[in-house]
Amino acid sequence: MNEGRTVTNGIVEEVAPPETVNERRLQRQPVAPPETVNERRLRRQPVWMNNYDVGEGLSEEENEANVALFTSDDPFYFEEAVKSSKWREAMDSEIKAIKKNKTWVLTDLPAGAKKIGVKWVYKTKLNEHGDIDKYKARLVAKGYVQQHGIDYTEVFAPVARLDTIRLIVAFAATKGWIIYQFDVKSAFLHGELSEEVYVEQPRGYELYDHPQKVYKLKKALYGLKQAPRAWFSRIEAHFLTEGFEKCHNEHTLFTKTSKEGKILIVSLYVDDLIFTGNDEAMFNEFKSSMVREFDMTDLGKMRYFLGIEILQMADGTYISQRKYSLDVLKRFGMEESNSVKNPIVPGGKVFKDQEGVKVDTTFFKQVVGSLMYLTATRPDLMFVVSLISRYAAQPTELHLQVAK
Amino acid sequence: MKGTTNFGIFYKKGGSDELIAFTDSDYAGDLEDRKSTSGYVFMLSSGAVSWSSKKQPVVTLSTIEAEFVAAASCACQVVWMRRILEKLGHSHGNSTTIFCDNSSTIKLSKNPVMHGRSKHIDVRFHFLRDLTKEGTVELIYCGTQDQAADVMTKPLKLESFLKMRELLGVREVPAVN
Repeated sequence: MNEGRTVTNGIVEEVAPPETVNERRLQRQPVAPPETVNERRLRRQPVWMNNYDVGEGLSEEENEANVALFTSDDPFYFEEAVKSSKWREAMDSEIKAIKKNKTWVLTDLPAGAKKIGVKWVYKTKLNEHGDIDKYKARLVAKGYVQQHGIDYTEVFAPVARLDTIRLIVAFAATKGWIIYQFDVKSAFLHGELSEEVYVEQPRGYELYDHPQKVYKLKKALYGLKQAPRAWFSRIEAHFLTEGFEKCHNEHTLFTKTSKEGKILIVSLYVDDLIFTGNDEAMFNEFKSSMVREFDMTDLGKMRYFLGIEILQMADGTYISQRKYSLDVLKRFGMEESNSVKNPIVPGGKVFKDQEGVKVDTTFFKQVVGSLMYLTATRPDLMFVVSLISRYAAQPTELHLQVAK
Repeated sequence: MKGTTNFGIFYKKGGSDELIAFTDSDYAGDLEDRKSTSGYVFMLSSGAVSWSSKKQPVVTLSTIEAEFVAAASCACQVVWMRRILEKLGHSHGNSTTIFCDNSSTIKLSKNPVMHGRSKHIDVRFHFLRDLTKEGTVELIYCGTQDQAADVMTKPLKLESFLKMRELLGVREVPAVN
């Protein structure tokens, strides 16, 4: 818009013909470029995602300020991290794990093939009391440069439906079975790749005698587009060889029945899995086979899964989202709100409010989205939430009031 | 919401392992386009396991029709849940019961009666009739006061809201020590 207007203001005033007056005024009071919705929006992970490693969204384009929101004072650049010994140790152990896992082999880059960059991501892991547990450096591939059809073909990996999870919980509760939970460490690294993927040598671990060589990946790295799928295929294959039967209506549900009619039920949610059944021997067999094959953390009884708290007691099981709902209240600044007994006023009408004051659509959508997840354990709120979500396109003050 | 942060669903041990469903609709609940709301709740072992509250995709001409559409979507879920439960080693010899508070809908699901007000009901909603014939589902009448799916379709008075919440198995979770 300013093209060809390199003249200074003074000159323009002298020579400008009268009809450009308006233009000049415009130029003098530059209108701030309209912020796009995306720029204003802070990319924040949903609270329940905090426990998960995601394959996507690790791109460098995420600007630093946003990343700082959830990584407090962890270093962002390699140059920063390499200065402190704790991060160097963390990177050493990651490289060691990769080597042990036989993730890659050193090779020359074939002509025409493309290599994918890798970068380090640093994160301080806290334990449940908020103390520092360990420093974790993770090597991730810059999966965002991958192109569909060239670098990867299939990315879909199924996850369990909440309905199924609840069904299993309820079913186990009636039978009095205990549900156990496992967490697979570095799950995605176990996935075996079917495509040929080459990555560059990681910063700080370049081989000086072979600077041109690249690593050919045999197993997935975090950040690759196909990492979740590779992992799912891997664990699926493992279950099938172990004699599990896959449920055709729910791909993440596996069952194994013994000749005596004992049963073992396993449900998978990316790298978390829960299992229940009625035979101790089968539990142990399953546990040892999983530990042999993958790096597992035994979390014992199922207590916290996808942000849902599960309390297994002698007389039954409770599921709730206390922590999540408190987080939601805090996030939207509603800790001080008065509590109501009934989520909606009977007889109150909600409608499209054409004249009403418009509120921030993004904010409204965030509220609705957070509430939506809360309905995972709160059927009594379901109606209200789906009612307000109908107005997500054109929210106004009225709807926001209802939302609160 | 604030007052009920520590509420959750309770599944009782040794409770009924029969899957039951409730379906309900709110006729022309949306003031803009007069579409109805359908809702269903599935109960297993004294707690709700699956539920939904949705605005119907079509405009319906009568309450029966609205109920019928709601019951049909509920029936789809029944089929899916039965398959999952079968996989979990749960045998259900008889049909799954769907409770509905509209007796005309129940009749409509049993007999292929065609009359003035129902002849236009779309084929896909007759899926329900098919399932009833096969014996996968059975529709049974229940009064509005025991209708757990009511809370999915309309704003309720406090008193009945609390009662419905109880019915769904939602209650305060005891403090963990």
